[in-house]
Amino acid sequence: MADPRDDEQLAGRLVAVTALGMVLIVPPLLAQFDRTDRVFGVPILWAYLYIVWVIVIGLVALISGRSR
Amino acid sequence: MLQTWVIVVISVGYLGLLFAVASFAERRADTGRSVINNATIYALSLAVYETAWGFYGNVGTAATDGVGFLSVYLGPMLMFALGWLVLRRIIRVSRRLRITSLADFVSARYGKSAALGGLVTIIAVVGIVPYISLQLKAISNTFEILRRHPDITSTSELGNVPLFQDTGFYVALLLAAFTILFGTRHLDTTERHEGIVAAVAFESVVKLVTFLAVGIFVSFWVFGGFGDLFSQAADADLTGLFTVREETGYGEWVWLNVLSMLAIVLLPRQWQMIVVENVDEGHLKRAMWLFPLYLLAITFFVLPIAAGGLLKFGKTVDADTYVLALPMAEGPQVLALLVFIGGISAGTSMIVVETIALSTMVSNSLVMPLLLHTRSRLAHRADVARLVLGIRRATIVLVLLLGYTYFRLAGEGPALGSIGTVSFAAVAQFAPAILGGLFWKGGTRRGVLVGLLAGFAVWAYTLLLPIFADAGLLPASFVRDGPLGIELLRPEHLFGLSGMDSISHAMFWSALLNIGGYVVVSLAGRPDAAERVQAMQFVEVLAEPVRERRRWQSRATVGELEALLERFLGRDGAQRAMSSYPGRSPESSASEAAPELAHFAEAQLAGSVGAASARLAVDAVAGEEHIGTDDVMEMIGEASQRVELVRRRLKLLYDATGGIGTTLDVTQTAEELAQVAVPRVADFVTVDLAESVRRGDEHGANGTGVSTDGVGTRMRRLASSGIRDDAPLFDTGDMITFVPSSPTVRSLESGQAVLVPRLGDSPGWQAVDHARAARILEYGIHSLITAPLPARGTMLGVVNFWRSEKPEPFEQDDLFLAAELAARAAVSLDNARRYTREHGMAVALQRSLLPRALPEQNAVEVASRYLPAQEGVGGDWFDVIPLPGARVALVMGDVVGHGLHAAATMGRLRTAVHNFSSLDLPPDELLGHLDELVTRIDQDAVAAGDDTAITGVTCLYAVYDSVSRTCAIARAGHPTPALTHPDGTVEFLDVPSGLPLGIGGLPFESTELPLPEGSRLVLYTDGLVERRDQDIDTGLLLLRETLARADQAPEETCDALLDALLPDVQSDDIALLVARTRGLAAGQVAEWDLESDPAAVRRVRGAVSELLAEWGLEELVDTTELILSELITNAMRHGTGPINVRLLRDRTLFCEVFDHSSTSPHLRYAASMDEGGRGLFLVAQLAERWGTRYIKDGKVIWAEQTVPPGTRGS
Repeated sequence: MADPRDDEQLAGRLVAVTALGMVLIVPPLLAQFDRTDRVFGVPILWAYLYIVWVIVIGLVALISGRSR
Repeated sequence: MLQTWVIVVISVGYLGLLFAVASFAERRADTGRSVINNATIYALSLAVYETAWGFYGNVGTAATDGVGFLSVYLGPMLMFALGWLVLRRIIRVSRRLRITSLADFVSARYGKSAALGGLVTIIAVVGIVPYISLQLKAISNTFEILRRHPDITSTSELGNVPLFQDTGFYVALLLAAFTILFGTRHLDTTERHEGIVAAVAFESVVKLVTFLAVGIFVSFWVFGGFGDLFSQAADADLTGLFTVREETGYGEWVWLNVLSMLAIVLLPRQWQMIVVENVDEGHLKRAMWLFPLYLLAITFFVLPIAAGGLLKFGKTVDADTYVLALPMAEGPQVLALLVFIGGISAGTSMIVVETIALSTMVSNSLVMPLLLHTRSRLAHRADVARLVLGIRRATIVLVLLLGYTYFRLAGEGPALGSIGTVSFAAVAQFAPAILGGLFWKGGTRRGVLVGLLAGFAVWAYTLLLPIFADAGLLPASFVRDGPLGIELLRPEHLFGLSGMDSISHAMFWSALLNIGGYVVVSLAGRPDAAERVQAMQFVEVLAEPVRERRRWQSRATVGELEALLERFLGRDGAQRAMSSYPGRSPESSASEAAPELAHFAEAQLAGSVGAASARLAVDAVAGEEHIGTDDVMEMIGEASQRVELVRRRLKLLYDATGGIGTTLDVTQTAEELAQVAVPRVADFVTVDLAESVRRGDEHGANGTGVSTDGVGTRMRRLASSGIRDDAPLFDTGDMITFVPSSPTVRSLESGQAVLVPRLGDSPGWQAVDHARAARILEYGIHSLITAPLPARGTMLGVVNFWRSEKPEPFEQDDLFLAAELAARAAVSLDNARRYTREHGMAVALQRSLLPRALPEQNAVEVASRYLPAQEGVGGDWFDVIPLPGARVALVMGDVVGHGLHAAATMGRLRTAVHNFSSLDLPPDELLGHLDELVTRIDQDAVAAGDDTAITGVTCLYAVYDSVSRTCAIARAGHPTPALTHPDGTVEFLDVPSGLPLGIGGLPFESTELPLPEGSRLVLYTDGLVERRDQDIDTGLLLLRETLARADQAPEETCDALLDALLPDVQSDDIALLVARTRGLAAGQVAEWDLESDPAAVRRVRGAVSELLAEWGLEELVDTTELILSELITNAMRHGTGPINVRLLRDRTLFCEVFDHSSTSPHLRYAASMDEGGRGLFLVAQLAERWGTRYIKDGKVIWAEQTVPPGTRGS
C-alpha cells in the first residue's frame, strides 16, 4: 500500500486536472472557440476539444504513471 | 452483391469466434493464468461503453447536432481523471464487502436494506431495457440494409419484418445463449466472468479497428482529406455542425457532460466492468488515461463521416446508418462487411454485459430477498445454487425478450440517440445515493428511498412518457396538452418551466427532487446503528479496515454453515470458500460455529446473493430467523451503547490513575479520590480512614489498619466531595464509630465492596447514627456503595459512593467500577502512608542529631536556623563548640543527598568533628582527619555492597579567638562564608576552597584573619543560595545585599536572610549560622613573660594573687597559685626557652602556660617516693578541665577553673 500522503498528493493532482478539464470544456471558455471558422482546414471547435482531450489524457497519464 | 447467407455465416462465424475467445479465457483462468489480470485488457473491457448506439448513432447525432455529440465522451474523460478518488473507493468497498452489483452497493451502504436494493434494480431494468432494445434494433436494421446491398435503404423504408425473419430476434436468442453460457456458468463469490471480459475486450479492438478503417476510408478515399471534406461541408452550408451553440445549445451540452460523467460509472454494464470484473485496483491507474484515449480514437472520425454522409446522401439516407452506407456506396464490400461486424461487436458486448449485470441485480436484490423473506424454509432447501442460477438465466432471457418486445412495440421510434440519453438519465438517479454515500456519512435509507423514488418518477414522467407518446403508445395530446389537459403538468414543460430542451428539463427536475429528497430526509432523521456502521465502512474505506461488529452469538454448527454454503455455491464452491477461511479451522462439523465463521460465511454468500439476502439466509440457519430487522438494529444499538459505556468507564479509571496520588500526602490523596469520582460515579463520595493510616503508622499487631473495640470500628472521615456542599453526611475530620452490622464494617471484614441499593432498607447503616441517617434520606441520598481500600493484605479504610440525583439505585456494574477505583486509590493511599511514616522517621532522626541548644560561651553571639527540605531530610549540619582559651569553633557541613543515609552520615561526622575539636586541632588538620574518616566510611559502604556511597561532603571549620580577635578558617569545598564588618561592609572571605571531603588529595589550608569586635560571620549551606531556577551568583548577591542593609543582632540577621532568600519550593535543606564576634576586654587578660628561673615563679604567684583579688576571685587564689606553679615548674623542667603565662577571666578562669617545647605532658600517678611527677595530677584535681594545645612554635598547657557563683560576669 502506498504511503497515504503520496496517495493524497496523487488525488489532489488528479482533482486539479479534472477541474482544468471541466473549465476548458464548458462555457465561457468553450464559447470562445465555438465559431464556424476553420483552422488548418478543420473546424476550430472540433480541433479545440480534441486538443483539450489530449492534454487531459496526457496529464493524467503523466501523474498516474509517476506515482508508484 | 452480398448474399444473405454470406452475411449470416460471417455473423454466426464471428459470434463463434467470440465463444472461442471466451472459452479460451475461461480455460486459462481455470489453470490460474488469467488473461484479464492486465491493465490494458481492463481498459479495453471498459470500452463496452461504446455500444451500437455509439457506433452508428454518434454519426447520426453528429449529422444533426454537430460537435455536440462529443459531450457524451468528454464526461467519461473527466470521471476517469477522478478515477483514483471515486472509482477506487467503489472498487475497494465492493471488494472488501463482496458487493457484486450496483443495487447491492446501495443496499449495503444504507444498512443492508433489501427495499433499496429492489428499488434500484427496478429502476435499472426499466431504464436499461429500451437501451438493450436499441442494440437489437441496430443489429437488425444494419443486417437488413446490408442484405439489400448495393441498394442503400433508409431505415424508415425497412418496414416491419415478420418476427421469424427478423435478425434481431435471432440475435437476441443467440446472445441469451452466450450470456447464459459464460455469464452463469457457476455461482462464484466474486462474480467474475473471465470469458466475457476477454470477449468484450476483443470486441473493443474490433470496434475500434473497423471504425477507424471507415473513418480513414471516408476522409481520405472518398474525400481528399479533412481540408477538402470540411471545406465542401462549409460550402454546402453545413457549418452548423462545426459548433455547439447552433445545434446543441450550451444547457444541453453541459447537462450531457454531467450525465455521461455519471453514466460511465452508474450504467450497470460499466459498473460490472469497472468494479465487479476488476482484478486489481492498480489496473485503474492505466485505465484512467487509456480508456479516455480509446474513446478519443473511436470518436475521431465521427464528425468527418457525418459531414461526408450529409454531402453524399443528404437526407435520403438515415444518418444513423451513414457508417454502413458510405462504404456500401463508395467502397469495397469487405469494408461494409467489416463495419457490420464492428456494429455487431458493439451491440453484442453491450447486451451481454448489461444482461449479466441486470440478472445479478434481479436475482440478488429483487427475487432472492423476496423468496427468503416470504419463505425462510428456502435457505434449508438443498442446492439453492441451482435456484439462483435458474433465476439468473431466466432473468437474462426475460430481459432480452423484454428488450426485443420493446423494440417491436416502439417500432420506428425516435432516433437511436435519444433513447441512449434517456437511459443515461435513468441511471443518473443513482448518483446521489452512491456518490453521496461514498463521501457523506449522514445519508439515511429513508433519504435514499425518497430521493430515488422522486427522481425516478420525474424521469419516467418527463422522459419516458414522451417517448412512449412518440412511439404511439400514448396519445400525443398527453404530451402536448398535459394529462387531462392540465397544462401545468405537461411532461416536457413541468410546472410551466419552458425554454429548456427535454434532457435539461428532465435532469433539472429529477436532480432537484432526488438530491433534495435525499439530503432533506437524511438530515431530518438520523442514521441508525446499522447505517452508521456501514457508512463508516464506505466513507472511510481508504483508511484501515473497520471490522463489522458481530451482531450476535451464532447458534449454528459448522456443519450447518457448510451445508448452507453448499446450497448456494454448490459443493465445489462451498469447499473453496471454507478452505479460504482465514481463521482457525473448526474441529468438527458438529461443533458450534464461531461467530467469525458465521460472519465469514455471510460474507461469502454476500458475494453470490447480495448482502441483504446473505444476512437473511445466515439468520435462518443460525436459528435467528425470528429476529426481525428491527430487532437486529436494536441489538446493534444496544451493543454500541454498551461499548460506549465501557469506554467511558475505562476513561474514568484512566483519569483516576493519573488524578489520584499526585502527592505523597495521605489526606490529599483521599481528597483526590473523592473528587475524581464526582459526579461521574456518584453524586457524593466520602473517604474514611483508620487513624493510624493518617498518621502514617505501620499496621497494628493484628494486621489491620482499622482498630475495633467493643463499640465498633472507629475511623476518621478524611475527605468528602459532592455535587453540593450541604449534604448532611458526616463532616471531614469527624471520628465515626461504625457498628458491626453497618455496610462499612461488612465491607472491611469481607474485603469486598458492598452495595446498598436502598439505604432506607438498611438498618445496619442507620444504626451508625439514626438521626443523621434520617436527615440523609430526607436529603435524597438513597443508594450507597461502600468499597474497602485494601493494601498489602490489610484494610486502610473505606470509600463511600452515594447517589442522590439519579432515581435508580446503583447496579452491579457500578459496584465493579467502585471496587476497581477503590483498589487503585488504595495503592496510592498506602504509598502516601508509608512515605509519611518514613519521612517522619528521617526528620526525627535528623532533629536528634542536630544541636538542640547551642552551648553557652562568650566569644561569639550566635543564632542558627535549620530548615529540612520539603521532600525528605538532608545531611546539613552545623555546630558551635566552645574551645579553651575564650575561643569558639564554628562548624558548617553538608552531606550531599537526602534521606536517612545522609542524615546518619551527618550524625557520624558531627560527632567526629566534636572529638577532633577537643584535641584542639587547627582547622586544616581537623579537616584532614575528617577527610580520612569520610574516605573510610565510603570504603566501608562499598565493601558492604552498598550502592549509596556518600558522593560528597563539604565542611567549613572556623576557630575564633576572642582574645586575639582573630579567626582561623579552613573549608573543604563548602561555600565561602560571608563577613559583615562592624562598619556594615560585606565581603565573602577569600578562603582557599579545598576539595570536598572523601575525595582525598591536596591538604587543606587554614586562613587566619583579624575580626574586629562586632563582625558578623555568616555560615550557610548551598540550599540557601542555590536554586534550580536561578544562578548561584544571584543568590550570593541577594545575600550580600541583605547583610549590608542593617547592623543587626544574629537572630534578626537570620530572619532577614531567610525572608529574603527562602525559595517558594524548598528542594534542598538549609542550614544557617550567624555569629557576631565579641572581644575579651583588656582588663580580663593578664600576661607575664618569665625566664627559666625558679625565682620567677614566686613573682608570678604574687602578681596572680593581686590580680585575682582585683577580679574578686579571692577564693581561687590558692588553687590558681598552685596550678600555675606546677605548670611553670613543669615548663621549666621539660621545656626550653622563655615561658609565657596568661590568665583569662571569662565565664571561667583560664590559666595558660606557654613554652617552646612540643613534648606532650602526661598525667602520671607518681610513686610515693617520687619527688616529681605529681604536678599534672595535682592540676587535674584542682582544675575543672585541663589540656594541651599545640601552636606555631611550642605548646600551651591550660587549666580551667569554674568561677564561683555570684562573682561571674564581673
